[in-house]
Amino acid sequence: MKKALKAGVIGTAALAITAFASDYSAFYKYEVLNAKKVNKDLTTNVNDPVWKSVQGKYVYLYPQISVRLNDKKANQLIPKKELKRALVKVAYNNNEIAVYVSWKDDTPSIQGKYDTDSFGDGVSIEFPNKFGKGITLPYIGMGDTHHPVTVYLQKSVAGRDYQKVFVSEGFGSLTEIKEPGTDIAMKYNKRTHLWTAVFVRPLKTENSNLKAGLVPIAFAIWDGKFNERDGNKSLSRWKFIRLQDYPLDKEYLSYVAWGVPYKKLGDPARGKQLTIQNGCNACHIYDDQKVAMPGLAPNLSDIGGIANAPYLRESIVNPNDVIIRNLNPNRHYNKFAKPDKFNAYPNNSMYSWYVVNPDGTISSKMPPFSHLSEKDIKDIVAYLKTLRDWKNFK
Amino acid sequence: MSKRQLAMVMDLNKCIGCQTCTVACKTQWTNRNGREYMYWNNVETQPGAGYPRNWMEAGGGFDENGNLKDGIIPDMVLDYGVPWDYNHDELFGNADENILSPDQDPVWGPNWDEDVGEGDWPNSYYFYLPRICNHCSNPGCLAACPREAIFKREQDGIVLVDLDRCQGYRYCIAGCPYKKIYFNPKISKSEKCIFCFPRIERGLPPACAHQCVGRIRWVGFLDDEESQVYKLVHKYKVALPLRPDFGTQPNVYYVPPVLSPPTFDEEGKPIEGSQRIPMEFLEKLFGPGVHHAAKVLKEEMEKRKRGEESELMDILISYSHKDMFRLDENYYQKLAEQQGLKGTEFFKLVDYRYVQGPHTPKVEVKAYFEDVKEGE
Repeated sequence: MKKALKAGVIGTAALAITAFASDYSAFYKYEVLNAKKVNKDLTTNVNDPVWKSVQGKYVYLYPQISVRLNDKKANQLIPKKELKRALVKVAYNNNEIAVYVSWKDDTPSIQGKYDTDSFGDGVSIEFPNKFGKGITLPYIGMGDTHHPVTVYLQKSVAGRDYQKVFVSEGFGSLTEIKEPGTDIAMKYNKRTHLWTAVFVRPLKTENSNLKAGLVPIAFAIWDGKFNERDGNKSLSRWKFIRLQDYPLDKEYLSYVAWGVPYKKLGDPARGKQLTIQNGCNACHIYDDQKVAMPGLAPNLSDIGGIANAPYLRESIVNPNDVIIRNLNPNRHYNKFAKPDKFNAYPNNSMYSWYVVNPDGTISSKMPPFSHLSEKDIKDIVAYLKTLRDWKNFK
Repeated sequence: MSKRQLAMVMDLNKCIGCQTCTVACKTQWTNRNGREYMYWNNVETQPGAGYPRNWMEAGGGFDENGNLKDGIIPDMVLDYGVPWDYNHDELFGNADENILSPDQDPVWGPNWDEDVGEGDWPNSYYFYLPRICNHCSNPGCLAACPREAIFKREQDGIVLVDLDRCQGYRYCIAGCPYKKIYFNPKISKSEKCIFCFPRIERGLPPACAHQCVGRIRWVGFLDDEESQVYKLVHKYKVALPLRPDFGTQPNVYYVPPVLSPPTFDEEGKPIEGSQRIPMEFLEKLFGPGVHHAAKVLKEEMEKRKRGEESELMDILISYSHKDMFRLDENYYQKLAEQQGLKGTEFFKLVDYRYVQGPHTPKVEVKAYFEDVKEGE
């Protein structure tokens, strides 16, 4: 946490001197992973010498608390979690891309062979199935209705190589697929206490084509020690891989780089007041705003770490663009409705994050705040970007 | 949520704790492939810690406003009990040198506290509580699953896990207040009692009910007024759900053990009108309906003693399996016919969700049920 903030502060200071509207140096410095082109086959060998020649960058991962899951022990452990830092390297050749992720873990956890309550460490990366000019960023938590993503997962499970590829359109929609040419490896080094994973996939698959100048990618890490699995994890916001071989779309660059660095974006104190004036706290829990009923809308307490500024902007101005199917709607039933003949109560629609229109389309329950001025939006996003607290999770 | 609902009634006044149901279930479903530790059907002693240990305190279910509650995942060794084998091979022909011993050092297991119960002699008491999945109307497991891998069948309300969608996250185990869904570590997915649906669809009751030597189990559709299940639950209201306060609307019902023997006074004489199992305890387990159930059961019993007719007593005597298990004869066959399914295609009726979830556009049903035509 401290390190991340410090890095942000340095960035702002350096930029204060040279920053202009079209200056993307902070974006390149903090959000872009420069991929190295190699002229050899890419393997999942974590000790492949190729990685010695690829420059890495640190990516920070924040505990997920936007949605609350129902494992009592795991929930009690959330405030004890620390900010995670992973070293990421990317290499590619004409046909394939390899992503190297390495992070420290003093307590390697492996899901037991014959056990009910042990959880293994794991790592995943995700790519949007569509991205580029005119396409907005998907919800970071495995995509959303309008933005399918491909997810690559490796877990440490005793006695088997647990690697999977999924296509997902948000919570509950994860669907396993078989992707030819994709492989993942994950190894623990007992001397350095580092987990290292390498993901190799074709640049172009049935679902996505990464042959572009700027490719969004996001990371998630599971720590078995904290009973982590599924949404109980640490995740990064969208980062962007720069592939020099492919043209960079200026328009897309200016869209994804908007609001970086966030400290230059606006006035967070005014932004906070605006969130209260506009009633954000009626549905969302964040900061010291805790009046909303839990589960009514995503908890925003550490949204600043996991959401990109352009995504936050889009969510405020046009929430219908990123409709998140909330976590299993059966989690809340309406005890005050009439049960059916078998005593089953209907789901409580109050907790659903979207409404189904008569024509079958769905709309976000959050109204668009497109009437806000550019300055107001900037101040609100600048404020939201400061929210990075999970230590007070209950 | 479902169009129809299958239910089971168990008469606890007749359960002798013989575990035949447990064995019937185990040999049918759970003696292999990572399920060895699971008891989809277990018979525990109440009052007691039960199986898994202290399941009633392990959370899950819904609060009074209908919101899912947090729960815990029981531990294999401490709460379920790790399965063990004996050193029979070693002992064979070597009995002088070896003693019979388990290959694990168990600290807990199903029925660890069998027949312990509560109270002091001569007024100690206990009864047996057989438990399977309750196939709830608002299932906690289904609500808890972030993958939405658990579904309730439209045609009969049986709650099943779609193993293609299940990713072994185990929130279902935390969400089920009865802890009747289990993690299979071998396949890293959750599994549970399936109400023997392949038997049910062929008109046979679940193995546990069929094998029960005390004939304490009835199976039928809750909306079928001819079924004995309906009569016990709705007409006489003597069959009650277990821990209705958990808020999941269970569909396994129990005739509470309100016909327990009397307590003894200090001189060892039975106290007239007393009963060994305290009503407060039964009320905790089966809700306030126990008082009505006790009254009806005693009244009907008296009636029968006087030589009068009592439909309720006739049902509870369990004269014939044919009447106890009313599966609407050809209900499933009719459904299959409506869908135009023939022969082994019959299983499509069940298995669609196993093959194709709501978000699996890429999986073709054909891969499982390829139409092989003669002569091709």
